[in-house]
Amino acid sequence: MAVLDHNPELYFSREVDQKSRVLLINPPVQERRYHWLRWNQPTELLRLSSWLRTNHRGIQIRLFDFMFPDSAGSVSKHKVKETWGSSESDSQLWHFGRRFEDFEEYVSGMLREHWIPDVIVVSSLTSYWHVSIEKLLIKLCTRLGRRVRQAAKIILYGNYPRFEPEHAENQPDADVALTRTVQTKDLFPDFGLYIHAERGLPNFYGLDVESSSLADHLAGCLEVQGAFDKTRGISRPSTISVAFLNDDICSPSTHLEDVVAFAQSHPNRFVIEGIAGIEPRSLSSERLRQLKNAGFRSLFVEHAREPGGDLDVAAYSPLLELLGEEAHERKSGRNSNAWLDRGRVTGFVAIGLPDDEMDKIVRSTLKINQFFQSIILKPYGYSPSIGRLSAEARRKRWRQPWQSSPQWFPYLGNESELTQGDYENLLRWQNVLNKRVKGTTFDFLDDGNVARLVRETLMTESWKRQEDAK
Amino acid sequence: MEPRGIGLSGVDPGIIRELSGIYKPFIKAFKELISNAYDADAKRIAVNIRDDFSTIEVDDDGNGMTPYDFHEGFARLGGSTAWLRDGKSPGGRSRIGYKGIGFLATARYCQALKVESHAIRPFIGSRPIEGRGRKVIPLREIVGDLVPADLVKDKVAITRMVATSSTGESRRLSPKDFQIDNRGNLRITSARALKARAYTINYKIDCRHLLLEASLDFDYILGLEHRGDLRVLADFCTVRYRPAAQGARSHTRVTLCGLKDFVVRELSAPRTKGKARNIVFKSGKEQFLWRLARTSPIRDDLSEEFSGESLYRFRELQEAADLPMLVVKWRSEEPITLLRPLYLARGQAIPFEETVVPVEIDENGLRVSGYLLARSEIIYPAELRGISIRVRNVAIGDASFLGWEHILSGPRKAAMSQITGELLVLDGLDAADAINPGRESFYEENHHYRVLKRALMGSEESIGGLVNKTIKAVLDRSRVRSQVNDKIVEARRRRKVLVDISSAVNYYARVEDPSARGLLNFFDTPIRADGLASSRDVPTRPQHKLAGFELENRVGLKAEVEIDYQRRKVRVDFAQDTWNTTIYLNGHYYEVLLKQGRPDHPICEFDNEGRRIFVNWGHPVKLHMDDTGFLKSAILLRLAYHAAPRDADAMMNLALNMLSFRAE
Repeated sequence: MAVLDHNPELYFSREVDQKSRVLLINPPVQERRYHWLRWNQPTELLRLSSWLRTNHRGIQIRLFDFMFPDSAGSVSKHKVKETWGSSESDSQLWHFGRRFEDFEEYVSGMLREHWIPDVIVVSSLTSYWHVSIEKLLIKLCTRLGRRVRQAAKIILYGNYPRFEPEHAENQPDADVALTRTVQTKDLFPDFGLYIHAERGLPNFYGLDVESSSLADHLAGCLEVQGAFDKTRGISRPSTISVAFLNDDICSPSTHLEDVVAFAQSHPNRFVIEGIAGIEPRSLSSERLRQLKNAGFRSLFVEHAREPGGDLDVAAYSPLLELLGEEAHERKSGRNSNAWLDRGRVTGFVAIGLPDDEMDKIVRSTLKINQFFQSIILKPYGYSPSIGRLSAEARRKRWRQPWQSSPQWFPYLGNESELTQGDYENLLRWQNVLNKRVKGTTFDFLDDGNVARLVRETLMTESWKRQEDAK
Repeated sequence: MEPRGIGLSGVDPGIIRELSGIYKPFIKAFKELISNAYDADAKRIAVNIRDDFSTIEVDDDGNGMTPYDFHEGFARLGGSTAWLRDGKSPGGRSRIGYKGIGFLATARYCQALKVESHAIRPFIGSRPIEGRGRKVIPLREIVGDLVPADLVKDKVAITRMVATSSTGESRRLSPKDFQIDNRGNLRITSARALKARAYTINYKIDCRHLLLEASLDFDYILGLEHRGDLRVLADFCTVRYRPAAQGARSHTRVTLCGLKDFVVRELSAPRTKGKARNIVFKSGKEQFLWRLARTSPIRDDLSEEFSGESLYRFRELQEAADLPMLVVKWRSEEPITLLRPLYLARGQAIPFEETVVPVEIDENGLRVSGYLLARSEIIYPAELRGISIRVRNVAIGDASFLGWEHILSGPRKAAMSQITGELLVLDGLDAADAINPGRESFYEENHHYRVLKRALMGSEESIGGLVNKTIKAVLDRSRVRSQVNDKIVEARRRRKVLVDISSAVNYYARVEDPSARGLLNFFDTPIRADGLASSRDVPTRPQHKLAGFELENRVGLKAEVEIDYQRRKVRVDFAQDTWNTTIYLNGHYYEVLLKQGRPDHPICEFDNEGRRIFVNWGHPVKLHMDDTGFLKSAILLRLAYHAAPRDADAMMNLALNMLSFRAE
């Protein structure tokens, strides 16, 4: 069984030295759906690598990233085939990331060249994607063989042992579960690991917008790219993609102004991916100006909810005002630099929460669809920010952590009054709103809750406008 | 100087067309021009293909031709002078062309052929003349009127003159008996000499001051077929003489003008889409260059990396041969020097010494030296399969197995695709009755050819000879490789089954189920094996020998296995995962051991103390299953039994689930 350890810095300083060989693994994901697949980058592992190198000069570190894209730039996926399915669900699972066979070949190759790892760190982005880690550990132990396995330490790292320590502790194929990650906030991620592992660099550089060394990190990305391009005989400076994987890039701790300054001093050198979340309450005119100057061309706005579940319309005011101003300026021709319009903004609407009410969700989607061009229904699973539950309570409710994944709508049948069918209907409704009707139809005359509510809402709203007009 | 026509008498143009047709396709005709340059002792032959494919030039620095050489050897059907000097060139090379029809080879492929030539050597001729008591014999009667008399009158020297009397007695005349007058005529100055009935006059003509330009209009010639007076073909060849530059070197330039459309199409053809391993699928340029290199008397592209004894003699003969350099300039590209492609060329994998079968034949005037090479894979390009036989440094036809490729079948025929060979004929097989026109094959009835065939292929009743020896080597290696491969595949299958077992057990151990709990508990139960532990081991790895070769364990091999045919050894890296018989079950590594137990012994036993699993390879159930199926069933059934010992239904359920488990 794995031993829990709450002090990763001390642990690593004990277990590794400059002669150590460390293998870092970003595992695959087995899940029903994974929309953000291409943004899966093991930033914590990359920073851990930097931390280890800083503390132990000469240490050898390798990375196997299951999520590294193939030569076409896509992250592979395939259906999981298992001869017996769980009785809890008949839903098809997908394996996102490279195949286990690739990993097994990699390990065999590593052993053939006598690169025997002393420490193997398996990270996890979420607390509920442990099934693929368990399968990975079995295959890893099988491939390593008894002698190598006995000499190597397998460490669980990241959000799985952090949020599910009791479950992680029971993993028979790991030695240690670190309940905390090493403090690496301002460390530059070791993107160079990819060059050795993959003879290439990832599609984007994932950075932390709250780091005080952000400008240095941006410069570091250009440097890494430049050095790699040189080895390939490319002399013209490349344009790199940068993504900020923070929940709110406009939070009080943001260093967005550093991004702006860097973008201005390095024109056309990088593209900011709009993946990062933005809390509408954090938005101000100043922040919007910064976003524009930093090179953002699209925004993803989180769902601003009132405690009762209604949409906090006021939270969107600054953004809506700016959208109005920019639209006006564009129309009048006064400002040709006006960059923001409804089409560039996507609004999230949270679903899967314990207090979900169909009426409020549908109204929220209609409202946000008025504000912005497109909406995304964002499922939520268990997290301590939604409701603190002890491990015992969690196991009573969800026997395994994977069942608390957002894709399984874990509050169904618990606190939520909605059904699985309601959520599926909502997802179809989302496509209708976004005018993407690829093979899915939304029947407005259906007897289901969503269709009924949409009809009622539409009728109520249109009636209200007629009344206002009178 | 006005151009003059040279006639060619008594030949039907249809015959000319037929003779040209012997040289098919174009490259076979074109190579004759290279052969001519070789016969002229050229050290360097340059081929230049124009950008628009309008002309191809062959330029050599050989001996060149005097107008008389040209008339005698080039423009007269069957008039080769190769029989002179015992079939050797002035430089001592064994001449390739000797039938006197090579110049016609390109007739079908172009509109005209132009020749420019300059010779430093004098033309040496001999002419019988009737005496008739004449004091003056015109020069024209001696040297002919091919070249206007005024161009050669001061250039003729009588080297020998023999007078034959009416009684048949011959007497060599001394220089006092005759002289060349100022008109260039021969004057008989002695009375005794005057009495001769006939003279044989040997002479030489210095043509260093003349540059020959000739043009053969093939379109005109072939157009005369079935038309006109065929007994005399006037203007067959137009000749012009120009003054040669002072000190000019000897050379010949042959230009093919107006290449026919189908030739241009052939040369400019693109490569066939997809994998083009064989020459026939390559581009027109690649085919032309490859075939030209294969059929020209040039150096082999012999890799220096291979220096085996078998090839030592072959290499020596190559280096000793007086072979010209052939340089090709393809349109506007940089010129390249061609080397004859071989299967032992640079960039090819070096074969093992024992796969090279040396060939040394010395029998009844036939001397041949070379080698046969057996490969463990099919030879590409296909055009290199078979034996290439070179006479006077030129390959006779394409590489073949002398007809046996159409007779053999089955594995022996398949083995032929893995054999290549190069033979140099040092003596013999060069008579006119040995090689057919076009030099594409030998005459079967030729004695030397029969000797060669017998040495290579055996008797007519059954295949034998050196080729049979090589085929046996191929088949033997194939057998060894197949047996070794079978063992590797068997090991891989076994390993996969063990990994599958591991996946099933580890996966199922996490399912929350009473029988799964039993499974988890079992691994910590102090159980020991009885009986099977002391039974004889069934080896999972080959021991000592494999496919008749000595077995060697070699860690760190790049490949899974290495076969050393020469030393008859098989090297296997048993450290690789394929041979691993350990499985990982719920945090424990178990060694799986096959035991030759009794039929009444258990099908499988677990030893949790020593972490071993014994599988009874002598169990009667094994007779009804394949090895991997039995291995999986034995282990999982036993595990299920231990996990649910008092519940038959649960045990069967668990066993079936694990047996049918299939996971990502």
